[in-house]
Amino acid sequence: MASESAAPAGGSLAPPHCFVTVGATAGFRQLLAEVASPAFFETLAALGFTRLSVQCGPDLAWFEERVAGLDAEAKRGIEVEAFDLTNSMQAHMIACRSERGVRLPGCIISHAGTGTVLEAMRYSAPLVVVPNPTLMDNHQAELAEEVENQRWGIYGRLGHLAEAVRRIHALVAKGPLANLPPYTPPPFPVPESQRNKLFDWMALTAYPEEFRRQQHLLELHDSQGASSEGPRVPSSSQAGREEQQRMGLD
Amino acid sequence: MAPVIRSKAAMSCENAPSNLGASSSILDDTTNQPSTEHAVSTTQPATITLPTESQATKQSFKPEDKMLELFDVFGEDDFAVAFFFWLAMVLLGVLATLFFVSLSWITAAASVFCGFILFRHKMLKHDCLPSGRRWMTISDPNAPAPDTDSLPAVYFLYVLGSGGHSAEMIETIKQKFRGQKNQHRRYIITTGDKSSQNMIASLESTISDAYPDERAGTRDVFLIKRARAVHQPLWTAPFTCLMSAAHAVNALTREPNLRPFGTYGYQFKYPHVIITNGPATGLIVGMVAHLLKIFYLVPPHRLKIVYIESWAKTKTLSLTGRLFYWTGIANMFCVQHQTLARSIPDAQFVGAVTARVTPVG
Repeated sequence: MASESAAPAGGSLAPPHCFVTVGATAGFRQLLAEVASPAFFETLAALGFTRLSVQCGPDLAWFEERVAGLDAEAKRGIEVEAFDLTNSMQAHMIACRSERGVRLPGCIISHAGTGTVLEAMRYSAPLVVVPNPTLMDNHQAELAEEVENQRWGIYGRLGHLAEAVRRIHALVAKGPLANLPPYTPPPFPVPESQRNKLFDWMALTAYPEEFRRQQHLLELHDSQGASSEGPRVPSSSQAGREEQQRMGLD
Repeated sequence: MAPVIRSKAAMSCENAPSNLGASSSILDDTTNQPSTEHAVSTTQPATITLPTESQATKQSFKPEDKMLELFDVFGEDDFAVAFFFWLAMVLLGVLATLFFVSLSWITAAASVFCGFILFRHKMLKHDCLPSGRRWMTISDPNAPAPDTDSLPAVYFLYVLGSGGHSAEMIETIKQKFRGQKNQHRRYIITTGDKSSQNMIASLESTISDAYPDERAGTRDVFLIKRARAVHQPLWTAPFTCLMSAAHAVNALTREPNLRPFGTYGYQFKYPHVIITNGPATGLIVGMVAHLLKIFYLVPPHRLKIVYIESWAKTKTLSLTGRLFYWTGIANMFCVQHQTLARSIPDAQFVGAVTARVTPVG
């Protein structure tokens, strides 16, 4: 597994893809400037990347100018695609996700915005998050730290982006993310046992009588659960349910 | 305030299944009351006669029928106009009072007023009995789940912010959604927020794919003015906030066109639960809802406010979160990270409601 992903563009597998996104709300020139630098292209080429797509937000023209300023040698044959906003975020992110026998793991470089980070993690694509220091209170740094601590991805610092890409590449090559089954979207509706019922309880508080009745049923269930010692026997919960139904009738 | 709301309720109860029908209903309204402004007129050129058309051009990103259908036409927001009219009158009245009434009387009246507000605020705080802690800790699959099918109405209002806040909210909705006939949901989005519109459109198509029948419930989208743009200086925020507040009142008290007053009465008039997760607009809506409750303008046990701190905040509360926490207007205050939950005494640790994540390795 490790050797497979280490080999640049090896065999019939699609070469790794790099996707840079700055989000839809605000621009992030510092990140784009770093992406459009020869050093970054050099790192990508060394790791076997052949394609780079960049979602630039409001700074599209500025970024294209920067990339046009680079000569062909500095780009090292990497195909660059830039756009301001996209409706197919999912397609770009999945292109960075490894797939068994199809694709090598690529890399998503993202601003530390919640929406983008959440989406990237949903596809379990290798992720580098770069907080945007110009936003209010530098609030994105907190999320980036959490991402690094929980090992969801790598905290990419401005000025050390190429290094971060090298780190995530090495990390992913060892872990399970290098060889994933095809992506399947999570089921909707969510199975009842995993569903978040908290807000339904909240809606119920708008009807105090009904709320009290159902709360009582819950307490009843709790007390019965406490009275039956050890592992729960199915019959007792059955009895509990019958009791609840009787309670429900009156 | 109440008669204004009543008249609006009677105005356009007609369903708007197609774009054409909607625009004709708007035309009728404008001919009836030509002097008032349009609901979203703050961002539209005044010369446009057909608001539906201007809405269509506004979402030029993708002329989706879905989205057009979602933008139920609510007629004019005459409330916003009336609101500012009354505000001006009150200010004039106060100025006049300053001239004619002695200072002691003014002080007395002001303190009675403040006392009343504080008293109601405390009262509402005591009112929110459920802690929620128990509901979260239930791990037993046999435990009775809340049964909301038999209720006459379940009406959720989701306040979407921008970018990440919306993405989180959409995920939260997905994690909680359950098909039932008696539900209505309303999304509040801010003007010019196209990515949220896209997200709602795709969520709604997911829901209608999963529930092609009545269980999908009804839904609509309300546009209000954005409280603070990303780089907008803080000092101009109060003015834009006041604008959003005026629109928020309309969003909170206007019954859905798909659940007309004639059929459903007051059941769908006011939302039961308002869920917000951090955008400033959410705070405005929360404040307005709390004020409506303070002044007895909505029936009791409506407009329950749930605040979910953004998943991005792991150690400290966001500004909106702190304001919600200090004012205590949220009936339920949720945080998504254990570290944060430990430092906030009354917070509800709900786990990552917006994310299902696996570590890189």
